[in-house]
Amino acid sequence: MSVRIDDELAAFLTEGNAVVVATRDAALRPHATRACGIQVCGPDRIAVLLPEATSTQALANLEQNGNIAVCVSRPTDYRTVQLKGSRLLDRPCSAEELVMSQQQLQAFSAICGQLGIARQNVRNIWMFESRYVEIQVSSIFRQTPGPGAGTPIEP
Amino acid sequence: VSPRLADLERCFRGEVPATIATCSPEGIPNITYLSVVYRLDDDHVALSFQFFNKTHANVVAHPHAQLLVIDPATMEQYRLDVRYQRTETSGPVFERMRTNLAAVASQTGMDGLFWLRGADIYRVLATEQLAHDLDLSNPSPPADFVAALETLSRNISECDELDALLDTTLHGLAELFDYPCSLLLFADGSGSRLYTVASRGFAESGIGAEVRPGEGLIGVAALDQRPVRISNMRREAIMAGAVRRSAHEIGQEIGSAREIPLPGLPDMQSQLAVPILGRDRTLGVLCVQSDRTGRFTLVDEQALSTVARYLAISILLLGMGHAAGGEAASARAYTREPKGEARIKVRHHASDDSIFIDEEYLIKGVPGRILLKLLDVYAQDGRVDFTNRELRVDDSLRLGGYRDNLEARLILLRRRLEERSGALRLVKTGRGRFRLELRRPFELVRAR
Repeated sequence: MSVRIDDELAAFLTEGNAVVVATRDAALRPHATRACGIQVCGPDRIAVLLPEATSTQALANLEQNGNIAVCVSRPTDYRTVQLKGSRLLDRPCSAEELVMSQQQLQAFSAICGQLGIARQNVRNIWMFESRYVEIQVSSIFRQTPGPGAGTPIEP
Repeated sequence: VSPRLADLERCFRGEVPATIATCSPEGIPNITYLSVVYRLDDDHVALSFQFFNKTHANVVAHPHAQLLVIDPATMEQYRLDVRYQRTETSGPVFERMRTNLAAVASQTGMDGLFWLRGADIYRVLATEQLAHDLDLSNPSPPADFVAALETLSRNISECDELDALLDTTLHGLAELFDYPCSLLLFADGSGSRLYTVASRGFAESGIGAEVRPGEGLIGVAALDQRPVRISNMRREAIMAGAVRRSAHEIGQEIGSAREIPLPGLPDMQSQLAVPILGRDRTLGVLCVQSDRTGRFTLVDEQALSTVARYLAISILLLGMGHAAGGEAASARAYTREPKGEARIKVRHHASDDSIFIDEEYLIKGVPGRILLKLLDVYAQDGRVDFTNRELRVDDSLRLGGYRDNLEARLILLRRRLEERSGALRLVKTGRGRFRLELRRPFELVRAR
């Protein structure tokens, strides 16, 4: 399956939506964690910021096998996209990436505010000490709830 | 220490979406959002299975999964290691989930597409609270309703008339339970509709507003005879829109079915509707609303269901009191023709017994027939005092097998008249007695 993250999709992914990540261990046990930032690095590459304090298992799984799924969902209309692929690299996040995480938190807080969730509460699910994990994307799926969920998005 | 599921009750209200991670037998992880996670007991949760998807296929092939749930009060996150056990397509868990989903589907015009294929049952193997780097406020503990139930049940038991019973109940819900916005609907004799007979805390009383059984949040509670609890109506509407768009993305179009106008708060976010059951018959629905998300919890559901049971017993006991002859048998007060130039124009349509007063719709059906009867008696012999009993045995009113429903119709008629017409009123004069009060002469127009 070929993939291409076009400008419209890239804008959606990085506009400050909820980002959750799945990995799995050697025994195929899945693991869920929340990313606190996402970046588009190329037409088939993204990066996520995984908080060190909550992603120990996820980072170990990625070290072991590299398989990762990233789900991005907009709280105001549940437009949801899932990207699957494998880890390319994993390093501490830079100062610029920290700024990006801060900006996405602000945007996410504003969106949640429209739904009546207080800004300080949204801050509670966000952490800044993160690892930067770059991913080679191999497939992209529609994940908006409904009969179309799970169908691939192809160029 | 691992938290117990019972301590995470707020995570299971459906206020904030949860997440599920699964893995295919080939080792490809998958992650998606869930609308709601139901806690069944201390070791099991159920997830709704609505659409065939990767999550369901994965757990059937490889049962390990992990959930990420959020406490909406503090936004603390928890991981739940779970193992898929089975999919139920009948039984109490399935029915409870189906009722709530059907209620939302009907409310949002998504009948037919938004339905439950099954309840996926998972055993919870471990729980873990995720680290966070902030001090979190601790919300107030759940309410203890024992004292409130004791007081309200005593007040209810002292009511010897339906009218007082309804007002006492709604007053008690506001003062003792902190449910300022409530409404009470009764099923009509044939069970084909529910009509609002009492309400409290709304800008418009909505007395007389109708809901059909099976339609919307209230109608489904009546039809399924089960409570319906909604924590975040805004989210439910977003979800309905998302499903429409998801169908559109793959070339399916969902006809925009009618959304059901809901009685009550314009910005209602939380609602709890419990059926009032007399043995197996739905007598009505008791409903509380709030503009706050997550306002009603399982504890509220248990408390309101208990109130509804007291109410049902009291309604049935009042009905038995009528049968035992405990109300006034006759009333014979007469009056003179009221003075006044302008006549009240009362128009009756025989096709549905609807009544219009000065060209404004008042009521239809049995209450319409009752008012016509009262006006006819008054026009013939000037009598203004009436008893419930004489109406109950009056065959021309066609009360059918539901004569115990007469009081509710009279209350509805009286309250509608109070709201809509200052010139024509029914005033209670004693237990089972009332008086027709006319401020001006009337003219009756009979139409088809």
